Amino acid sequence: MTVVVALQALAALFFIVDFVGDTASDRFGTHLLVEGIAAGALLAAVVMGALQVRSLLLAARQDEIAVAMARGAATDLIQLRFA
Amino acid sequence: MTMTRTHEASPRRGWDPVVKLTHWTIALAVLTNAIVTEEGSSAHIWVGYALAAILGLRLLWGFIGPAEARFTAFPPSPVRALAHIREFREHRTTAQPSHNPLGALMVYAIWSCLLVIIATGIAMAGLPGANDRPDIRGQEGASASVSITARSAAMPGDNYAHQTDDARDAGRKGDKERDEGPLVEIHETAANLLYGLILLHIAGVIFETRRSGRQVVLAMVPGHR
Repeated sequence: MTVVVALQALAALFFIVDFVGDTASDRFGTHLLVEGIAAGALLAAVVMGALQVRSLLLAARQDEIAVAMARGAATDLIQLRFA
Repeated sequence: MTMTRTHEASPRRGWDPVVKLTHWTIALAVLTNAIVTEEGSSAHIWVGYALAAILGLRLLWGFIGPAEARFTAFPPSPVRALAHIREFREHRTTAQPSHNPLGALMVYAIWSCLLVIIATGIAMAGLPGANDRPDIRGQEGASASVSITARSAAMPGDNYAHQTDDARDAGRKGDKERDEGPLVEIHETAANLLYGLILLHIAGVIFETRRSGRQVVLAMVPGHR
């Protein structure tokens, strides 16, 4: 997922600079409009993708904590049972 | 000599995948443009643009990433950096959830250098693909075209290699003319400063690893949690 977001960032930059370059040299038309929408969509995808990665990371960390706590509780139960 | 550790209850966690990916991609891009690509070449410019995109992602991550990756976790603070240096003398180590105060100053210095390099690079090279656009190419490529045409006329049957040699020579001449501008000076000075900062960064990592343990360097190793 992280690699996908990084590739999206590369693609977004490519589209943005291409759009800016075309804006400087072309008249505004349908082609530019579509290019601008694509650039904007890619930029939004980078932000949304990064948010998704953060959400996955935080969920994974919560799972790690939950597993560690469960492991500790299981150890306590075993010690209580066989003490 | 005794070494005191504080906050030992929370062992340092490895950096998240976005920090690792952006760190190593930027390192690779800097290394590539320093020793592999030719200055001003198309490859050099494209690697620079890729570096800009990845740095942009890291800066975005500084706003929306997990706590330890955010700018708020490692503010540039000379006072904290001095306090961190005092820890060296007192043989104390404090667990850092993010970059240590000296590391934070280094990070901001490296990013500032990179932004200057990128900005001056864009100002000099223009937008990628600009040379492919006929309307923009027109003026710059005119002298090369004249040169190529003249040579072709003088040497019937001239092959493509000669034409590309001429174009390359014209390009080099143009590069020389551009070399006189202050942008190149700033670009090269910032790049040299960046190399110095990278060496300092590596020295800092080695020092901190010897002082605080392998976890400092392992935290940035891909695949290590």
